[in-house]
Amino acid sequence: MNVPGELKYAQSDEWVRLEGDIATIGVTDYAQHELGEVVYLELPESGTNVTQGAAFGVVESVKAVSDINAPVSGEIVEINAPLTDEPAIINESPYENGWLIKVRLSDPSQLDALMDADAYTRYRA
Amino acid sequence: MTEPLITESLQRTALFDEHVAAGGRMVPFAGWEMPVQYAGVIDEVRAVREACGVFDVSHMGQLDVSGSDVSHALNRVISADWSEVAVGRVAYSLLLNEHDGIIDDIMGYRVNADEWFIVVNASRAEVDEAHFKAHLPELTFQNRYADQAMIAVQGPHSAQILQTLTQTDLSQVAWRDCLIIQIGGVTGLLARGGYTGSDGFEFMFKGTDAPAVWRALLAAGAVPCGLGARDVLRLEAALPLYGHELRENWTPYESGCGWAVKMSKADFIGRAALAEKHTPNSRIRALRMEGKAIPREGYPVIWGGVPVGEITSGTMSPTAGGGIALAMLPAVLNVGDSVEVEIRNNLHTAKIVKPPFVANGRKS
Repeated sequence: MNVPGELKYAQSDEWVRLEGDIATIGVTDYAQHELGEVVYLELPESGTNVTQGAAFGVVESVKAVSDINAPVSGEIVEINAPLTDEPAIINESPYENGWLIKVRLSDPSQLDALMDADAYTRYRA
Repeated sequence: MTEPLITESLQRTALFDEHVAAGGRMVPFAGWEMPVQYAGVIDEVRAVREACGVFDVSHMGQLDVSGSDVSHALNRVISADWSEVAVGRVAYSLLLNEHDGIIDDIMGYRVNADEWFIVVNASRAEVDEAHFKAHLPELTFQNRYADQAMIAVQGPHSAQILQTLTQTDLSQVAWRDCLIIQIGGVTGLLARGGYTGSDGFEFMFKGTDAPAVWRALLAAGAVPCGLGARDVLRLEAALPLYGHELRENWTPYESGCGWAVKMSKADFIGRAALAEKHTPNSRIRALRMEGKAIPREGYPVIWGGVPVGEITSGTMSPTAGGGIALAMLPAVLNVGDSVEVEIRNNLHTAKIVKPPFVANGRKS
């Protein structure tokens, strides 16, 4: 299980990479492995607001549908549009090319509720 | 992400350790702990459509039924006519209740003049066995759940792969033939058939021999496949599944299995209730999505702006390259008509098509 040290993690298996007040969000290596080959992805549009702990999108394998929850609240400033045509990129590169959305943080203190890499590794060990 | 809950009460087939060794992801299914997938559902589906996959289906209910004039006796309980089925042939039927609903769908293997081997759905095994015993006290029923293994070898290369493990000439075994042969030195009942829409075989034999047969098949090139691939394959072939297209409150005509009901034979359970229901108001139809969205069981089907039915089984079909589904719809809708499937509050267009979605050389 790949768990990059510099990211923050939610219990629902999403990760956050913070650059200034912009949070990049994706699903973890553990999540993509549990789900299996991703064949369909549904994301909201830029400009939409997401809420910490609430579903903002859906990822589907051949047999399963899973919500993707927002690990932090804020306004979506960018979505990874090519992913909807090639959702399997989430399996190949969950932390790089498979990122899902970028969000302008509305409350940076929400990051405190997330796990660091060590805690997430123990959580999913 | 949800994780399957595995409890101690689940049963394990004789191949449990083989599944774990092959990387199988074990999940609870109808009281059994079964592999849902190994390498991945898409690769496993491709193996069956293009080469050869092997499934452990030992969890299915297996019953030996014997007695004098056994076929005529069974005929009083089942919907199809098995009285003319020859020794060495396999037949399909429904089990109906006194009203007109479907208790289960079953496969019968006529192994001897006075003996049938019957395979039923795992989730219905106890119900079916009790139903048979209650209505046919003159026959002898022996369930084989505990000691018998059943595997399905499926795909266009399955004959060629199995042939390396047997002296019997498999080119002489026709679709829906069954016979006792040896595979890898192990004696069992072989039948040509399956539940994937591809060519293939089923082999029923002693559980203690299962690991050796399984390993020999993998060594010969068969790809281990799980329940995930099995469900996609049967849906691509538009084959019904109990609890989805077949239900106790739907008639065979609604479920699209009227062909398995022989009204012209002597009386059988359910016949009287069915007599006036030949033209149903609803029936199972095959849907092909036009966009990329994936239809799932329970999603509403909309026509003329109103909900008219729902998806009974749906998936992404790797072979057809898109979303496919079976749905219970008003009988006024026909092949070629368009409907909409409601997916997370959005409507997605689907077309009613003629089944199967994937034809792989077998009508099944």
